[in-house]
Amino acid sequence: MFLLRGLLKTFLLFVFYSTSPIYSQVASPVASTIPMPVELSFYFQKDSLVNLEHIRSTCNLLTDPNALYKDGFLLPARKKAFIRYVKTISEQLELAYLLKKKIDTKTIELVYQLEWMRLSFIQKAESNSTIKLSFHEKKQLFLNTLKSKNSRRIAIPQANFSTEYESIYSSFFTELVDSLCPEERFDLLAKKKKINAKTQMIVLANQFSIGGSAPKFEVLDLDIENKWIIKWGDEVHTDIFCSRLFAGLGYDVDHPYYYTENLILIFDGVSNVKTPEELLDSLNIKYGVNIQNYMGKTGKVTGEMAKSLPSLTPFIGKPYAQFVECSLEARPDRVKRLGSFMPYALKNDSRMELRGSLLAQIFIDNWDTKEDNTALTLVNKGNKHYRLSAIFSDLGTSMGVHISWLNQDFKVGLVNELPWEAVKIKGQKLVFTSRMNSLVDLYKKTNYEDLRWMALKIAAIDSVGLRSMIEAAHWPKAIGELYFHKMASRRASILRAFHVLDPHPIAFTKQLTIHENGKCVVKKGKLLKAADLATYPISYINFKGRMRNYGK
Amino acid sequence: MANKTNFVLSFIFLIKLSCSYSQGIEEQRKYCVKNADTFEVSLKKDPTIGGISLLHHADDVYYDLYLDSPDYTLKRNGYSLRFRKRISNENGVSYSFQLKSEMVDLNGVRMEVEESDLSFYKFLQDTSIIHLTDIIDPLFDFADTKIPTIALQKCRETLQEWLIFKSNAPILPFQQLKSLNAVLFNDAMIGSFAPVLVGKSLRSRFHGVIDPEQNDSLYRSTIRNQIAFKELPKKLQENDTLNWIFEASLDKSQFVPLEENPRTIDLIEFEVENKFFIPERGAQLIDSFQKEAETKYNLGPVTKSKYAQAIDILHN
Repeated sequence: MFLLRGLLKTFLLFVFYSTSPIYSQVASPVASTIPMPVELSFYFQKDSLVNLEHIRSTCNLLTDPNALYKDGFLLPARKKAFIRYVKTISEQLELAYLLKKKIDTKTIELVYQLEWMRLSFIQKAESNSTIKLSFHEKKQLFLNTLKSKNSRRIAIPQANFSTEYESIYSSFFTELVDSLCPEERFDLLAKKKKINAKTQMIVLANQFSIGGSAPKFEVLDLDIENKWIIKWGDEVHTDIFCSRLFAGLGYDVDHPYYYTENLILIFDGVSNVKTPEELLDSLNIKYGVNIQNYMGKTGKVTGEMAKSLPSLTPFIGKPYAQFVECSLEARPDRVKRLGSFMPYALKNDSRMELRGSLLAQIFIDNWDTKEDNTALTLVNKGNKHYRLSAIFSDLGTSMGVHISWLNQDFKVGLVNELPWEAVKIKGQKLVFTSRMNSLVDLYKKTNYEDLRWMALKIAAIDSVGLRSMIEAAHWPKAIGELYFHKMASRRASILRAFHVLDPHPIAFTKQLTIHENGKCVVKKGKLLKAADLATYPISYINFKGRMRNYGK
Repeated sequence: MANKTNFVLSFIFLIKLSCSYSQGIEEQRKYCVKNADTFEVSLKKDPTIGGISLLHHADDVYYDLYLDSPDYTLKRNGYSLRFRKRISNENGVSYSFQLKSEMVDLNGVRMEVEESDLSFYKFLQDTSIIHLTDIIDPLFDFADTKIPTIALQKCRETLQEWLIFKSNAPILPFQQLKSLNAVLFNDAMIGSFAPVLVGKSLRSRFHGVIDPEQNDSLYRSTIRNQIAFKELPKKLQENDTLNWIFEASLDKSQFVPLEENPRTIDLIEFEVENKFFIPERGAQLIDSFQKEAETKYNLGPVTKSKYAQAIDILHN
């Protein structure tokens, strides 16, 4: 529905702007000198000055706490930093109006940011109001999944195609630091957002986070400043690996980290969830998932514990829980999330760095590629300076996905389900093996050159980088090793398909066999049932997963 | 089960209440002080009242520039709109633009919204780009000099131009006024606002805390204030044993109308503002504080804002 709504919106915008007298009078002379997305032309008058009335209308919508609804949708709460940023932009544009400044690249960039925030803010309102997907929407996602496997084809150009790309610098969409090793980029991004995932984390229970089908719970740092989300289930490892991989390819991402008993969750009485038992029950009711297998030690904080971890002292006597494993995803105070990054608006579908991300999605075999899994964020750079950044979020529905048509459930992180090859060459076409539940508009426009641009980024990942990303995900050893070989193979298939000379060939074998404790756990590139030890909280072979509720 | 339901309901209530607080409601109590100097000395000698210890942490200077329409529409409707300049040893100079409502009764709940950062507001004075703060600074200075100058008059005119130009801009006090009464506070009305009163206040500031060394039983029976570390005042960030309940201040203020040979109005007030994350519990603790303070120091509760008091005095 939201895809259709997006299409409809784009169409209406097109009709409106192309028939609007303002657009026809204004945009032609303006557009002929400085190209800009059609949505922005409304922010300028025919004399190329900024349109103060329209700017104020947008800024009032984005900042006025009394404006609760737009087109019947309840608007999301506006964060202080967001309001401040909008106002700083608004003031620069108001000054440009007073100074009668003609349209220039700086004003276009300011207006671009304003309109981007407006669209994303409204998208969030619409998305929040969609409690359940309609039958038609579910059917569409189902059909997309069905159609996408082995049917997405890209023609290999017959004529000579460009193999030289201009360096793409887009401060909003990519964090491309080519001088940095791909595996180091995730930590650099985290540092910029002041994310401090300590070796030993103590967090306070807060509340249930909304949306999604994976069981999760929001917690707070001890300084009650930064939020985190604890996640359990089949995405624990995949999300961690894929976020690092996407960061390595130059994108901004969420920041999940792997924890075991080195995470202590305290129930200090402030949250409405007061004990580990209540947490278990509530997660079961809310997500239909029992995380009992993930529960480690539980009890009440003792003086003995506080002796070895002094920061536990104020919580002596309070209930706590540790986990066999979980991921802890940062929601730092420095980063404010809006809605999606609007892949279909503001000419974003013409951006090579976005269209090329299709190959990155294919590389990790990401199934849930809905628009809702992108986010526009406002990052505090310090000293009240902010920047907008588009992120790829929730990348965990990947790395071997099984979708059951009968039970309507799905499971991710099934290594045997991940094909050894991401792309195959069939005649003059490239065929991709991944399934996707949604093909956002920009991916429909993706061409060979966009994908080849991404293939070059993938080529920059070497053996050391891939290994370190897999180690960060903390899969059981044999499974991690099998993933290493599979991802190396998938990488090689991509480079081969796009005629990219491999600068860092990674050795792999499809016949990988691994023995553990005298038992064969991986045989000829396949994880055996014998490896599915009872000590793991989740099976890496069994298909039984969680219900597909598509994030609602 | 019933307990659980009650807890959930009260939790939802608290969340809602804390949301409304963050959207611009403050719980404040004001008291007139007969003798400020004696009161200040007494506070320093015996800083624990009603189980709460007052921790003196700053002496700030505030300048306030109040705006209203020529017929005092804001005052008549129970609002005050002001630019504020705060000079503090701790944080240097800061400016804000605030809209407050009068207290409805002694429970002290007031609406307060503000633009807390005026650093990026600029305007044109003749053909020069000038910071908004440079326009209002000479008007603040009038509280000290009480001498109208040509430069002051120029800034007054520029400020009026700014108000006319900005009446529909995304500025929170204007947005709030329109939300309160869109017909009355239309663009023309906001454009008619002009500076009417300027004041200077010497403010002694105190943190109202429960100190386990002063009152261990109250400390143990009161849940810790759940405030983000960065939101805590510096002194309380450094001493995490103290439980922060409220902020208090003793203001010695002088107001003058923006006119030649102005009459001066002196006001002395003690204010307490609830900072506890469960406002009801904070209010209970302030009640105990108030009860003892009223008896001990003969403080009398006040509901009128300083702006309303000053204008009433001027008009009578």
